[in-house]
Formats: sequence, structure tokens, C-alpha cells
Amino acid sequence: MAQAPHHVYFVHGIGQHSKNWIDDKEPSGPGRSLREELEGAWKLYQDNDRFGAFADQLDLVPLSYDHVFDALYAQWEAEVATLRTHLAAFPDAAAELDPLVRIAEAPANGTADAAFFYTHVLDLLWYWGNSLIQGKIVADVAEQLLTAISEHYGKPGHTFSIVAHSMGTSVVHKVLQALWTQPEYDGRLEAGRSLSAVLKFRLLMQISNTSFVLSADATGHYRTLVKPSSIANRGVCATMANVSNQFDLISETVPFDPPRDEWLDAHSQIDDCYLDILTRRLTAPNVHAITHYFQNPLVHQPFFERVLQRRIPVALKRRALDDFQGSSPAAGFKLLKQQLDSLASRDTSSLPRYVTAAREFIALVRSFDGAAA
Amino acid sequence: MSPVRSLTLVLALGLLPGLPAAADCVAGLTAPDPQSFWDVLESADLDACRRRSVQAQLGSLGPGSGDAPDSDRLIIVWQALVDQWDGAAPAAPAPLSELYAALGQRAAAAVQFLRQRGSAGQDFALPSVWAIDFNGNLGAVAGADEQLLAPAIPVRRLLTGACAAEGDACPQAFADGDAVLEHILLANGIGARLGQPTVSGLLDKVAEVNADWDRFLFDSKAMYPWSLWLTDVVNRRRNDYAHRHGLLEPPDTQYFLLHPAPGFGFVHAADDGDQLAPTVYVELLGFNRWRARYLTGVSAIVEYADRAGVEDVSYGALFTFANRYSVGVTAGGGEVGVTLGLDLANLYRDRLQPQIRRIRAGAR
Repeated sequence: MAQAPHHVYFVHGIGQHSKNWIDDKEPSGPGRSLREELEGAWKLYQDNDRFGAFADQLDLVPLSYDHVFDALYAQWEAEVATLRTHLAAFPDAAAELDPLVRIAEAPANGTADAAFFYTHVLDLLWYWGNSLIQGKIVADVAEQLLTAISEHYGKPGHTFSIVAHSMGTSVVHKVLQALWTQPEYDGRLEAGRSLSAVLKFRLLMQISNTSFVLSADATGHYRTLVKPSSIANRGVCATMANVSNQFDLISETVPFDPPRDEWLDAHSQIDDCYLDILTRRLTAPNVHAITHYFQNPLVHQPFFERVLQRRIPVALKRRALDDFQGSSPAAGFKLLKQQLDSLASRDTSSLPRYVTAAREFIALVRSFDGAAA
Repeated sequence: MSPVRSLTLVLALGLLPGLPAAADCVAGLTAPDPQSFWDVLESADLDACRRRSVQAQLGSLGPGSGDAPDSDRLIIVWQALVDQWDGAAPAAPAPLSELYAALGQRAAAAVQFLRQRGSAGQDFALPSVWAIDFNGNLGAVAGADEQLLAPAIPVRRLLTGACAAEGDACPQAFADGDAVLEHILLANGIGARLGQPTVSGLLDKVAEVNADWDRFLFDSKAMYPWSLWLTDVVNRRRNDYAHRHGLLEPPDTQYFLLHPAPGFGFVHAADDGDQLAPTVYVELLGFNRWRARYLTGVSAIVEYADRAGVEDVSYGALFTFANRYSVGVTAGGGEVGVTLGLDLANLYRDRLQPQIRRIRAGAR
């Protein structure tokens, strides 16, 4: 079988993920994996074998960074375990040191009633609040990305795209900004040459985009190099898609919303390089899940079109959208929508308030998940 | 390059009298009408056919060099593309002649750059400039001053126009379009030969930085969460992410705050049997220079031990060697003691003590 030429690198968000997370079944909703979701959508547009076989065209590659947190928490747990053995002989000292010891061992152990905090929120707080952890994650994902690209760089017709979700959108933004500004490569290229001429992604799809809210520099965020361009040797990608759902508070409370006139060059404004996709359907309680997003034709249609660079006929697109809307009536999940609307009106003007609102949002979604199950 | 070497290379590459003939992936296929022309031309099967053909042509160039692409070989292929397109332009019908002329100009800029390094057209020889976008264009090319060096080339529009000019079906435009797309793919491929060292070099640098982070976080002196916080705070100005270029690299110094650790201490003044005892010490404040080779860290410590005859609590200084082995000097109640961190104590037990025993046994 010929090697699939279109390589798509997926970067996950908060929560626990295995190394091959795109093949893990989503615990809520239809219970499909991301790969299954995409393969199912692919079949909707296969009149006359339009795109060819999925496996012949798309190479889906999961990238992950959970192992950074796992290693850190395991290190603390191991240090504490050794310390506890010694502390057994010093009850007075043990009592004094107990608060510190509990803090150090908590992330690895968690507690049943605070499990969500340790599996989701803590990782986010470490990433956002500590530049050392952030630096390690960015370097690690950058190495995974470049290592994967290097296996196929230079093969004729092979292309590279990135899909990031939730906290992963912030990671990817920082990875790309770092790679495009890395001083070292000036030694390899003629002075002043942009990395864009050497390596440019076909599509950067940011789903539930938190890159702006997790940026330490709100005023400078839209002045980074991470933007699309139709000029061949500019921009990090030919197309950038910003995808959100109106009920997804993770991305909608502090949305990624660049000032188009200043952010895009004149050519790119005309050439449809930036897609701002806002979906409105709720087809499963976990509206934030990446699989929920890709169920919607408004998301998977531009994904296929821009990665493969082949247009889907309008009639096929319309049919898929009609079928999707018919199977997910607007009245569905009415109560959940009401409560999500209520949450959306909360003040999220600071990161702590944003994190609080995000926690309540996810708790609400999970409560409906349990009810649906 | 000498004329003999040039000719030898050209013969070896099979590039005389010009580029290898395109694979003619459309042979035997029914020519499309103008409405379906581009969809058919860009279909999965034809795309795969062209990729195989170009892969074979790139293979005939020999393996790419990781560090120093052979510009001589690349110039020959670029020049062949220039000759192909410039040669075809005058005789081609109107939309195609415009396309060939634009492609020839773009390829000529690549040749000029490779022959005269430092010219303004450096990016013309790189792959992104030879990638057709979603709108069917080769994108415009910008210079260092952000002025455009070359306009976009509307490949799809011009090829589709050639098909429409031919009639309800366009076998000639179909074949010409297939050849053009294959040669653009070839240009993209040889552009990637030039770009390969950049990707490899960047990967080497990224891997080096990531390895440093692993050493800093996991292979040097372990930091508890609050020490990680303190180290970040101390380096906050340096780590100001928004204003940096490139990957953040780990700071040279780790800082420690209230860092508890197990050890063994010796106080000569303690009662017999209690002189050597397990201890727990807390580094109140300290630092560790994790890249240093020998003495890496110094901390102020308070130590707890349960010994008869001396104070349980003593204060002192701890010295860390090679990120791991710590020895301290403490004083409490007027008595001086020596503390070994657990790693150093274990090193003594596992490595040094057996050697000492062997030496003593040998001496006897």
C-alpha cells in the first residue's frame, strides 16, 4: 500500500491521554475514537471514490505531553516515599513536615473526590503558571513534531497539517512561534530567510482555541508569527481554522479573535486563508470533546478540503449537513443548553475566574454525561 | 563546475536533451470537460501517479546530503525546468503560454540564487514557493523587505482556461496540465533538498534543548513543587516568554526552599552507639548549578536526629556534588556533626564500603 502523503499531527488538551489517544474511545456521546469519527465522516463524501481510501490519503499522528506531568508527579511521589521511610523514626519532625509532604505527593495520588482537579485543572495551572514546565512541554512537543516531519520531509507530494484541541492550541501556538524564531537556524540559512519557505503547514486547525486566554502577553498575542498567509514564503500555514462551539465555555468566554485587517496581510484577506468556524449544535453532553467537534460537517468538511486540497461538491456538503441537523434536533439537550447559557454570563475577566467557570462547565457537562449514560 | 563535469553529471542524470518525459499519468483516460477538469486532474489516482514519477526522478539524483545539498546537481535540474518552460511558452496557446512564462521566470530566479548566493531571490529555490494552494495558485513571493518579488501564479485558472479553449473535452490540455503539475511537484521536491539541512538542523537544536530540560527537571537534583515555583519566580524576567525568540532553555540554577531529605549524620560527641544515626534535614534555602561538574550546590539546613547525649536539632550548611551527593556540616548545642545525604550514604554502602573491606582483607 502506498504511503499516505497527508500527515496530520494532533495535539490534545487537558485531561488524561494515552500515547495513542486518537484511537481511544471517547467515554461520552457515541463513544467513538477520533480516528473512527474521521473515518466515518470520510465515507460521506466518497462518491466516485473522490478522495480514495482513507488510509491511502491521511496519516494521523498523535502527539502528547501528558508524560511530562506524569514524570514530574512520579518524581515527587518517589522522593516522598523515601522521605516517609525516614520520617517514621522522627514523629515530631514528621508532623511538622506533613503539610509539605502532602502537597508533594497529592498530584500522583489525587483523591477520589478531587480527581478532576488532579487530572485536569492541576496540569493547566502548572502549564500556565510555571514557565519551566511550559518550556519543557513546548520543547518536547516541538521535538515530537519535527521528528515526525523529518521522516517524510522531501518526499514528493507529502504535506503536513496540525490539529490542536483546547490547551493543545496554546502549546502548538508556542511551539510554532518558537520554531519560527529560533535563532539557531539562522546559521543554516541565508540571513533573513523565513522558515516558511522551507516548511509551511497546509492547515493549522485550532479547536476550542485557548491560545489567547493562556497567553502571558494578551496585547502581543496577535503580533506573533503564528498566522496563515497565501504568500508562499510567509505565515506558518496556508490555512488557519479557528473552531469553536457556542456552548463551549472553554473557548467562548475569552475567544481567539484577531483583528483581521492588521493580523492578515492584504493577499491573505482576499484569499480565504483564515476560517472562523462557530458551530451551534449540541449532539452530546461533552460539547468540548474533539470528537464532538468533528461530528459536525461544518468542521470535518473544511478539514478534509484543506488537508487534501480538493473541494467537496456543494450538493454533497449540503446533504451531509442536512442529515446531521436532522439527526441532532435543536431541541435536544434543552436543559443542558439553558444551564450552559447561564454559565456563559459569568464574569471571566481574570484567569482565576476563567478557571472557576471552566471547572463548573466541565462538572455540568459530566453530570449530564452520567445522566445520559 | 568544469564543462566535462557538467556533461558527466547531465548524462548521469539522463537530463539530455531535457527533463525526463513526464509520466503521462493521463494516458488512456477520458479527457474531462472544463467543469470537471481540475477535479479530475487533481484526483487521488493521478496525484499518486505523479508522486511516483517524481520520486523516481528524485531518486536518480542520488541521496540528498544532510548537511550540504549538492547545489551543482540542483542547478542542472532547475535549469532544465527553465528550458522546458521557456521553450514551450512561445508556441503554446494563450493561457498555457502565460503559465509557462511565469513558471520559467520563477525557476530562473531559483537558478540565479543558486549560482549567486546572497541574491534577493533566495526563497525561489525552496519548496513552499512551489506548492499549489487551495485556490489552485502558486503563492506570491515576498522579499526580505516585504515587497513582492513575484506575483501569484494562477495555475488552476490558466490550465482550466486552456481546457475551455479546446472545447467540450480537452485531451491536449489534460496532458499538458498533467505534465505541468508533475514538473511543479519536481520543483517542490528539489526545493526540499535545499531545505533539508534546515529541518535537520532545527531538529538537532530542539532535541538538544529538550534533553537539557530532561536533565534539569529529572536527572539533576529533584525539586519539590514549591522549589520549582521559586526557581521559576527567580528566573521570571529571563523567562518572559512573550518577548523571547526561540525555545526557552532551562535556567542554569535551581533554587530550593524548605526541601526535606533523608540522610545519615555523625556526631562524635553523642553517646556510643548513637554517633551515627539516621537524620532528616531540611534545606531552608539553597541553590544548585546543575550544569556544573563537581560542587554544584550549597544550602543552609536544619537537621533533626534522635541521639542520646546531644541536641536533636542542629543547623549548618550542605554541599551538593554532581547534583546528587550531599555532605553537610552542622552544629547544635555546641557539638559539630557531619551529615551525608542518602544518595551519598548509599554510595558509600554499595560501592566504597565493599572496596574498603576488600582492601583490608587483602592487607591482612
